[in-house]
Amino acid sequence: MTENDKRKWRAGFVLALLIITFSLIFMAVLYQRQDGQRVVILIDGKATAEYDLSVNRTVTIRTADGGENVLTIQDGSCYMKEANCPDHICVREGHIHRKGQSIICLPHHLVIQIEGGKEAEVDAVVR
Amino acid sequence: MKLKVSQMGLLLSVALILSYIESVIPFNFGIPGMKLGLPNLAVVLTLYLFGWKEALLINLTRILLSGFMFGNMAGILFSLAGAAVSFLSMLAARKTGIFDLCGVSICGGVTHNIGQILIAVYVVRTAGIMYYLPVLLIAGVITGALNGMIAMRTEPYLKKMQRRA
Repeated sequence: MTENDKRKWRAGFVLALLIITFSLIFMAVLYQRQDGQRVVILIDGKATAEYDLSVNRTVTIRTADGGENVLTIQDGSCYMKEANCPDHICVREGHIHRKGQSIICLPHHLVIQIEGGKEAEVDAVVR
Repeated sequence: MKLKVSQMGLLLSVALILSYIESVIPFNFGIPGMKLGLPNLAVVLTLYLFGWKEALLINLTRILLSGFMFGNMAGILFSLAGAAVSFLSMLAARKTGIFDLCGVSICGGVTHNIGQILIAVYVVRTAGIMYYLPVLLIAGVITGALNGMIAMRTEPYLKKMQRRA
């Protein structure tokens, strides 16, 4: 290995480390988020329904192109129980409960998103 | 000329076999846009053995062929988006001369995943799914580095055979 080869190898290593560090910081910030209170159903980016996370229930979401996704809300978290999409990635995404987390079903253009309480839009009010 | 055609054909078939292996191994862990990126191995090798035009040709044909064989129309569009972003950044990374084959492959892996999540954001029209970005970036680094290491080990042998022929 020549000196030049080594330098190029090191450059790749530094790049990899930088990206991983950045991602880990990003992840740490995301995982400090609090539990959400509501789950919002978005089809093509439009909110079509909203459910309280504290009420256990199972709902079937039907999309325009014949998609059917069964969403189960249980003990403050929710997961996709069944879906008739080809890849089933949404089912494998598992449980979500933190604010900002989401489950995506790309074939059906569907996003399930966790949000905070209604009043949580403003952090604090200065009088 | 004949020799080049046959060598390109071999590289394309390697890309297709790797696409098939990739479609059999479920590696996405429930995260849309996450892929092993094995076929990129053939693309990176073509880039270093022949040049960017040949690599582009291999890239396009392997996406179309593997899409029709193992996927669907939506899958082809997604792959094209990811591959376009990844291919351009690999070319740029190679042009700078800072990185070796492995570094270029890491750039390709990471930007492929970025391209796919951007298309996903466009399809579902919800920016909230950028939440997946950190996981995708780390996955891109790992798969890109693995591919790059394999390509780095194979490239000298292929080059030798290419010269001898």
